[in-house]
Amino acid sequence: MGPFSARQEETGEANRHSADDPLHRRQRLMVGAAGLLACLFFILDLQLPLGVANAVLYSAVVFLSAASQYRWLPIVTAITCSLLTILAAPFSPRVPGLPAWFEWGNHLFSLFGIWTPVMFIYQRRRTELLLKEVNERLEQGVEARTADLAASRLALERSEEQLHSLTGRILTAQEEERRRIAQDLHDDVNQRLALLMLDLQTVDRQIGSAPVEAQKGIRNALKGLEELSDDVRFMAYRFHPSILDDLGLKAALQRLLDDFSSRTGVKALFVHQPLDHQLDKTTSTAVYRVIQESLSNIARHAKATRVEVEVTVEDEGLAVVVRDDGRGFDQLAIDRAEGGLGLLNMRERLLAVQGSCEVESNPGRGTTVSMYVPLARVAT
Amino acid sequence: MTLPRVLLADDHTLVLEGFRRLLDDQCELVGTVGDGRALLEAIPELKPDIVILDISMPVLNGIDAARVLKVKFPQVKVVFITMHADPAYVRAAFEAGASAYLLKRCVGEELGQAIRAVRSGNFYVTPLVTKDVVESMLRGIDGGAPSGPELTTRQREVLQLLAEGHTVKDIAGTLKISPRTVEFHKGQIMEQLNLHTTVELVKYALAQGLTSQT
Repeated sequence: MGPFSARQEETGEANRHSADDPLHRRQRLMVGAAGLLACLFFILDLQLPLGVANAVLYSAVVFLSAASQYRWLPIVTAITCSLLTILAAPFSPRVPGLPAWFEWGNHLFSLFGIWTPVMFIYQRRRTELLLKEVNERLEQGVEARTADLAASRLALERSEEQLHSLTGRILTAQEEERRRIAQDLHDDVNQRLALLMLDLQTVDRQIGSAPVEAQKGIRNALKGLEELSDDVRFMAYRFHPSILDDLGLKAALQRLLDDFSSRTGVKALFVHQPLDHQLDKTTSTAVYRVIQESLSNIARHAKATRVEVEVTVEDEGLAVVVRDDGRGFDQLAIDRAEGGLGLLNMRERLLAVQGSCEVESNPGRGTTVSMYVPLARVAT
Repeated sequence: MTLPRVLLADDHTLVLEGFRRLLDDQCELVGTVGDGRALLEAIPELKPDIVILDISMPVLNGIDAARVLKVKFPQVKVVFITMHADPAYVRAAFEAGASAYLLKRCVGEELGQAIRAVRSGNFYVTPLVTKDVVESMLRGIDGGAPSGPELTTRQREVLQLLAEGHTVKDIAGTLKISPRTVEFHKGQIMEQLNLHTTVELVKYALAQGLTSQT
């Protein structure tokens, strides 16, 4: 009975830590049950010959102890059960006529039955540990991957931002360049042409007595110069409408719409709320270009009979709506097709001045382009 | 008649040179300047009768310079000589207080006539642009003039809501625009339709079948 009492003592020790804890109470109960069972089987062993079925019964106790929280319990149980088996061997009743080796074999089988579960349990524990380790390593891997992903997303966002700013700068540079070319054409080439014409007109007046051919030649030259001057003026306007800088957005848009109407025959309505906001060159050029792009889209695709352009002031910003009654388009299709490029260009232009743009269209029900550009209020 | 004192403003030295030759026998050229601000600064000292200027000029453009000039020195006549044949420019020039509008290419023939007209208190517009100006006047859509009885989709929305008795604030909320913009639309509609009271506005909307209420 020695080993049994020793186990009782250990159980008591384990319980001293937290007697009130329900979990520990269960553990204590389990150890007690294991001890009791072992004790019961020991007595059974003493009563029955050949240690019948003790191997199986003791292994059940070992299995039971494996469910405990204490990792040492299966081994201790196995040792105890082994000792009990060995102790019971000489005292258990003998079956007459059976050779001694048979009984001893039986007891050895009991020992084998006790230790096999222990091996099994420890094998399982090792696998569990390994699995846990693999799991942890996997988790670390996932964490590292997540961090990597977050970093690359950040990098992507940054490069997207850079792309926007680059596009904005390219558009501004392009606009600047066109403005310069237009100015050169208008202010330099054309002024010189005008002067040439002046000079020729003077000559024309002075040679009143010259042969008719000479007069005719000069008149022809003058006519040619005039045409050239008109062409240059138109080229300059195509590059950059100086009216935008000279007379402002409203006059420039009015001119744009007049030209649009007379070119396409599409009726244009223009509503423009007076501004008490500062409209800088870059912003007004962006708004002008986006409206121009919208109109050219309408001219090319919409088959519209009427276009409305509304410029109003909303929340410290300029709200512009370009609406047509044309055949519209399938928005999903356009995002994929080449037509998306014009819209992208419009978006980028507005983005460069912190603006935004939305296009709404349905087949057969016209198209509405809405844009918004924040403005700086004039300091008064 | 004594020769008029003329101040010339243009940022192109070549043009200044060309004009100088032209003006020599018709007026007394008191000076030349290169931009609008310099022009305004030179007037008190040079005391010109007539200022001849271009529209596209650095620092301060011709239109803005003319506007200030006419406020400060109303007796000085303003003559524009530019490259721009666009009616919008002509309109802007006369709104700023111009007395004459010429194109550079016709200056040789018309400047004398223009100066005579201006001195006797008349206006002069070069025949080269009168066709466009008259056409745009007839169209009535140039320079912010009301564009006739046709209303935009938004204007019709505003008109309908007004006719149905909604307040400006309600309409602003419904259409998600600011009350100021609603007021602006209302004013524009009344101007375009030549209506003067809200009652007339409602009557018009009813006549047009714009309201959903009976």
